Amino acid sequence: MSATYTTKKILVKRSYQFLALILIILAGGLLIIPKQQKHEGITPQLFVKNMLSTERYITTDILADRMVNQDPVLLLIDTRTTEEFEKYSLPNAINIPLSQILNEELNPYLNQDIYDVILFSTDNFTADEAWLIGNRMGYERLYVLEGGLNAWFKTIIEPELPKEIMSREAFELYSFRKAAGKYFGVANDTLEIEPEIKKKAPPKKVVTKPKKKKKMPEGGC
Amino acid sequence: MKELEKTRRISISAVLFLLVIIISLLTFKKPEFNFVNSSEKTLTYVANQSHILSLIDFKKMDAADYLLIDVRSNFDYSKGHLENSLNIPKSQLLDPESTSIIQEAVSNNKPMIVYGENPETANAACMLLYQLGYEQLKLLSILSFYDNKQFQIRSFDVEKPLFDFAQTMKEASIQPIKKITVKTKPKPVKKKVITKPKKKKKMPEGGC
Repeated sequence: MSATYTTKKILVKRSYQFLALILIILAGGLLIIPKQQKHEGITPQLFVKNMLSTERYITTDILADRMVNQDPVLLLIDTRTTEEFEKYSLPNAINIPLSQILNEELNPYLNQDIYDVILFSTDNFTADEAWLIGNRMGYERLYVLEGGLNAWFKTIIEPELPKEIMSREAFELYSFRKAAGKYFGVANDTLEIEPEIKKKAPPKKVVTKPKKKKKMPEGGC
Repeated sequence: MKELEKTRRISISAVLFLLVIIISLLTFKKPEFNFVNSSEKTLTYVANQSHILSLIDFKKMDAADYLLIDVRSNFDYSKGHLENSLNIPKSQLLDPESTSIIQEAVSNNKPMIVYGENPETANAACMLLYQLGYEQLKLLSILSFYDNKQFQIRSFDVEKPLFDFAQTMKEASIQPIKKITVKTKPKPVKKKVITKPKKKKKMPEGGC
């Protein structure tokens, strides 16, 4: 009895050793596995999927509307150089030049999920590059202003007067853009003055009335 | 008996242990694509805009020296494209066929030049390829479009301001002052006209 008991004891001991050995081997294996997928951010497949989607683009009209309504979750980021930013930028925009977007101090503006970050540049080239880097890193709530500042000036600051044959929507959009432009510092435009010039016409009609007056006293006499 | 139970428990756990290992090994797949270049490296690649190739420089190059990739859709490509260009739509960049074409160019040490409808869309493809580890990459900064059913290209400078922003803004804010002065002038004229009808009322009264 005692003999079998001791062999069993040895077996138990050995199986412990065996298990420990497997664990050590597996732990060694763990060191090898992560090397194969060592890259930060999302997978290339997801990168392509996000890249093809145009959801990231926000038009100047929508942005103007949100700015006028003082959307609290809106955060504007200018990806141009500091010099360009100092000359002119959109109101309340923060300057993060493209080369600085992974800078530890400035990065938290992009890597967050509280604000809707709108990236913009002169056109949307640099902003798009910033977006693509952000996409790779898996940042959410990043958007790109479609057409950038060029489009902003074309549509909001100096909107083109729609032609008469164009739809009512085109005119509504135009008046919205004009109103938004006023909010951003462009004051009264030529269109509003034109009707006032037309108002000069009524006095001419009044002038004809005095002629009647002349006839009246003549008849009285 | 206690010891026997112990061994049984150990053998069961060992079997479960091995099962988990086998299953995980079977389901383990090596990812097909990996980003080779880090975000920092990609950023320095794009930030100084050295990857942008202008149309003038492109025309100086010999067609045998590069692989020209058109990243527009198959349909757009079939309608018209640049000479010697190869079509790899943006959505198919990770397809095995595309990768074999790209790999071949890399093994021949040929630089790749990417173009699309506009530099923005081509740049997305360009940045993807760069991050996948293809570093001999250039972006052709052109607009491609159809005019009179003809495929045409035009040189396009990225990030070129169409307005002098600060100046335009200044002018836009000055404008109203000029116009307000115009507005104030017609108003007194109107007031004078209004006073005249009052005289009219008096006149007929006196006549009667």
